[in-house]
Amino acid sequence: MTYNPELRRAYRWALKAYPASYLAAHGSDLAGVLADAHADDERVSARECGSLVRAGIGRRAALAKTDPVGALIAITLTCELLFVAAIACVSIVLASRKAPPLHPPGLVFPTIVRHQDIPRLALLVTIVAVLSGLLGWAALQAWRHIGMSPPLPSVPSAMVTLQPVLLLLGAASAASFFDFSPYQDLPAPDIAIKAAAALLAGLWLGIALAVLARRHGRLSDAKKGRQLAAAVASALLAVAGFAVAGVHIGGRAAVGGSGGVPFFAPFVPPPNGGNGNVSNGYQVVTAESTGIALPVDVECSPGGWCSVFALQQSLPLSRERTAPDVNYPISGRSVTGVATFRALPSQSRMPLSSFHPSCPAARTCFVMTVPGHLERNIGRGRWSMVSTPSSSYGTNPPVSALACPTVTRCLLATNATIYRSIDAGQSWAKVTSFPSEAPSPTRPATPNVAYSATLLGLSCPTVTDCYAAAAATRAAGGKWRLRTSFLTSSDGGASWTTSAVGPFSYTTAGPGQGNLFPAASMACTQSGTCLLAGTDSNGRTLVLELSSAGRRVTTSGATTILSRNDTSPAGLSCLRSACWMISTTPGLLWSSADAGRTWRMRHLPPGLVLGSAPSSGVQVTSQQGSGDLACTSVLRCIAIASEESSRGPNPNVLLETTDGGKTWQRLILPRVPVKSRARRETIG
Amino acid sequence: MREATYYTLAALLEGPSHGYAILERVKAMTGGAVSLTTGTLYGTLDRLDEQGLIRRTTTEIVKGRARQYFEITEKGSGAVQTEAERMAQAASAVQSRVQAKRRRVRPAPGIPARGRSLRDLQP
Repeated sequence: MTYNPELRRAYRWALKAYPASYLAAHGSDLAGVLADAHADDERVSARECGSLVRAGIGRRAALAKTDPVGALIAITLTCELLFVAAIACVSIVLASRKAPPLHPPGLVFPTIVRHQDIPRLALLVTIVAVLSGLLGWAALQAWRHIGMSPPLPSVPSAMVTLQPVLLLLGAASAASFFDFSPYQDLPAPDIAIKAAAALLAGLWLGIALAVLARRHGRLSDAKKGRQLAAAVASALLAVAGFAVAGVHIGGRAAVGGSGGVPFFAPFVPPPNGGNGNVSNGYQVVTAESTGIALPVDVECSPGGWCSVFALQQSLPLSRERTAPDVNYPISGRSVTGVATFRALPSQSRMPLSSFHPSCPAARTCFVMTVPGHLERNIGRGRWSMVSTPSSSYGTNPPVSALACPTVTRCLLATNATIYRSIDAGQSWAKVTSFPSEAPSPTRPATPNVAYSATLLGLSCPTVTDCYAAAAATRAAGGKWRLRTSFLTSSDGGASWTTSAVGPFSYTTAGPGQGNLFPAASMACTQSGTCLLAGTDSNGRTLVLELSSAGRRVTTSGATTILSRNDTSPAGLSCLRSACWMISTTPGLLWSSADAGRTWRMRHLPPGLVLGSAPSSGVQVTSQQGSGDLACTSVLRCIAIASEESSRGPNPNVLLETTDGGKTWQRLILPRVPVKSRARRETIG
Repeated sequence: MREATYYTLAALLEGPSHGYAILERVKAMTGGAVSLTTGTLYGTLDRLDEQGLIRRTTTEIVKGRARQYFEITEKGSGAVQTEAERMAQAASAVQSRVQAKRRRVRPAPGIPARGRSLRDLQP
């Protein structure tokens, strides 16, 4: 063109409204006419530009008439692009806002979804939208690849209807996978899911742009290399955008403490876990070292994975005046029958002074650290600190038991109260107090009366069925009155009904008489039968079988077995219909495959002794010892035993059986390099 | 028939022409009253081509650029002729009535066209 370069640029941009195929055929002619018609012009004609754009769009519309499938693909992908972009914008805005208080239970989804959950939902919806778009596109390409002409009326409509169908399928699968329900929240996705989602979104965007470009745009059919480059570039841009936005949001939420959800947050250590100078005259230094893992607790999820909780004994940093200040929890997983563990150290460096692990899913565990702190493993080694209920005095009461039947629902019991959380421990609500003689807000304390309440067991063998047992004592007038209560819930712990357990309710002359439940334990099967072990007022060992919500109490056959072997139960554990019972006799235990009706005697290898508190799945007992036993079935168990050796007792022997306790194999936890912290006194 | 379509077909009645020449013919034909833009012209040409009213003929290279020639078809000639006759008939119908109205309202000599009343008509 010989006319003004500014005009030439403007009209060239306007010509981009035409389809590539049209420009290839008539672009030169059009450009020539434009050059001749505006050779004497000095300014760009808005009227001319408008007419070119209008005519170009008209040509595209005309192409759509001849290729409705392609037009519908373009429209569908464009709508999905806008949909995802809108979700991303809303997520970015909402994720940075402060979260409102917990929604009241009982409202109908989606009104109860707090806006900090929207990014998680958006992630799910985005993944489904991306997958559905890819599936529809791939289906059409496959149809054409085999040389068949797509049935014009059916294929577009199928594609259009495929989107909501896949959306619903995705939501349903997410509901089962994440245990998502209208009353629960989605767990925070880990970094792998986020990366996969970003990658899928990027690929989808790239494919969408490539399709649009090839069908209606700027690239000719002959330049497929450029199309591919454009697709890859757009995918990379999308991934980079996701990453930048995520890190920005997560960093702001985590560092700024705005209360937002760190959707893409990198781990930010808590203020007391950082490295650097502190103001109290000490300096915190961090270095890499290896530690010895000492297993102290094991918990198995119903899916067959086991997590071993261990103390990581770190080595001193140097010969200076240093000392390890914390022990690190690590967690390993064992696929059923194949004991392969991977360390999942907690970043919070909170010492595991008390254990109450509960692992509702393969990659999700809740474990108590120091009193008042609860940590949640959100998969792949990332732990997050969650709250524990505060008492009316503003302190965290000591936790006696923790049972999490799902990744979001947890029951936490102190010696007098059960709390419930439906948001993975973010908030707790008091659901019931043990029916004790102990004083309560509605029952003031009576002078000169001593009270105490003891949790005997808390168990949630299913998502909806939970059981608890507690003993309350009241001493007045020289008499001690003990009453054992059995609590059942059929709505996941939201409400409880109470019934008294007769043989364990009695009156004694003093606390030493009757010896109140020296080794009480409770375990429940999936069918709703609970085993409750203890001693009666005469000191006899009893294992009761409670069914029909505690209304039916019978003496279990285990009582006879224990009496015959002159031993007492040290702990009970059930998963589905498989139950295990540990006795106080060293190395002696029983297994049952029929919910405690019949028992088989088993022995540990000579010299090994189990602890007193077995647990399995979501079962939790009130007492935690130095050893543990967790089973995934009646055949497969992992145990932590204690061994006497010439160098002294070794209380951290990890054992596994895959044949129901006939034989046991030792397992070795990996020694994993971890960051050790030491507190070094500053000199001068 | 749109104005752009009508004048484009009319311009092509003079013989095969390329895009810029069509623009110039239309402008000259209407005394500058109708000035088509390039986008409008090619949108019109594409549509007429699809309808079979014109056809693309030769392409010549001028100053390194392709120049496409368009030629009106018999169908196009008939269509524009029909449209011209329809417009002429419509114009004629309106014109005759305008002239008749003018004749009816023409005042008598010596009497002003306005301000006449019954009293004025009385002898």
